[in-house]
Amino acid sequence: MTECSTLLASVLAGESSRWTCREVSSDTVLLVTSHHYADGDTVELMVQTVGDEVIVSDGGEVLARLDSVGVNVDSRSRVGKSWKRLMAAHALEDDRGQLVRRASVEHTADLVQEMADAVANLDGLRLLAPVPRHPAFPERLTTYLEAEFPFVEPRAKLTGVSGSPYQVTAAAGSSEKQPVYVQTASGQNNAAQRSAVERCFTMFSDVNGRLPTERKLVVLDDEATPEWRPEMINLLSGVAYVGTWTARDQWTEFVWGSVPESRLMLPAEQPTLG
Amino acid sequence: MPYVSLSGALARIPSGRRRSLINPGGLGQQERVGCRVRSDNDLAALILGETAGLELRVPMRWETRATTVRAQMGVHNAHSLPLLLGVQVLIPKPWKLTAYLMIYGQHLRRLDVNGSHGNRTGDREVWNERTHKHTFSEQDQDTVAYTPGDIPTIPTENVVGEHYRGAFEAFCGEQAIKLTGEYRWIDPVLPTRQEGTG
Repeated sequence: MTECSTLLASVLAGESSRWTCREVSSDTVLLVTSHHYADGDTVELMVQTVGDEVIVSDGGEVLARLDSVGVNVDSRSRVGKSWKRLMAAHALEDDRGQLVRRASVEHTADLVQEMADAVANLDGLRLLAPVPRHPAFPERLTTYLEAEFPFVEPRAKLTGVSGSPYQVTAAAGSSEKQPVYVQTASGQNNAAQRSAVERCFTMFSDVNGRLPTERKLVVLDDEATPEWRPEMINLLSGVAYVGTWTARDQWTEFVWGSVPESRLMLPAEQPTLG
Repeated sequence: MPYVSLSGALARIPSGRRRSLINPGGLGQQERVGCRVRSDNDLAALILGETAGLELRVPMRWETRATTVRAQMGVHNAHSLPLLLGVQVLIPKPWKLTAYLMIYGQHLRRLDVNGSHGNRTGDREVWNERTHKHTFSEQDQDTVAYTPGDIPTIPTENVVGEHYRGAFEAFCGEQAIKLTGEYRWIDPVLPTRQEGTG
């Protein structure tokens, strides 16, 4: 049978050996605790003493950790709501992203322990984040552009001659001067494809005059739907250059500024009217 | 990190489409890649393998986030996978830099310069404010770390941009990410607390 006194002595000895502390400024120390996040990283806390008050902070770690895996706690999603509940349950303040608790100096030890528990709990929200899926085509295209071009503005804004505002998938190019506006079109069936094409046509027609054709590109998703109807491509080529995902090498050069003779930059197997 | 199946999207779609996620260009190139992705470990191996042809072709793009200054760029790769390379510095702890290679919200490798960590398995090594690097596997997710051999130190005081550059570019070197094309290092600018961060 486990003997409590032996067990406790062992646990407490291990516990005390794990804590370290160093001064980082005249009124603040950095504590490395014995607590851990789910990935094994150790909870570090900043402890500041101002007069009779002690301020314990996570140093911005939790939000940084969540942000780096794409978890947005400001959202109205389940994660965002859970974040607010956990913040309230642990009596935490949000000081410009740093999680903070304050108390009088005599409560420092309790505050440190409670804070270490709290930040590990909040970090666990990563477990509730939506399971990453195959990204939607516009996201995938944007990631590709971000790997290839020095300038990329996701969800770039355009205004048509009519005054209508539009949001394109991205603007991209060698610099922010005269980027190419890139719009994706995808659809699992004929009706969805037609709708996507009509949206592109309307937008790029409306910005005609304000934007030369050489700065407008439609990229068709030919992975989800290998073939697009020739008349749809023909319609689009009246107002923009047209490429496909699988033939992206062709339009990548176009976005770099190498304008081809034909507005169609398609794989050989894609039928066209021409 | 929760158990999230990186290759789940591959597994759920028909084999013809599955090919296309790895190789949108068609079956032929996949055969040249010579690798079928059946699991997260396979996908990680594909990305970290010699045939991935990883290149950072774009300049550093820093932005101020809630508590960090972060640059996150797409990584050119032979499989056209949506790979991201990130590097961030904690504004309240400028001695602490994190660099990561990520796909589908999962860090495949993560370098924590001056970070603290404890392995729960094996030798149960402990890092207290000491540089370590997280690996990824289906079994252990991102809980296992080791000490990388060639990451320059970042001091705890008087940190300058070259310190960050040294650590970041060494991480790229370890991950066989070539720095090509329009890549150029730009120093991050850390706002002071008075300027606000959020």
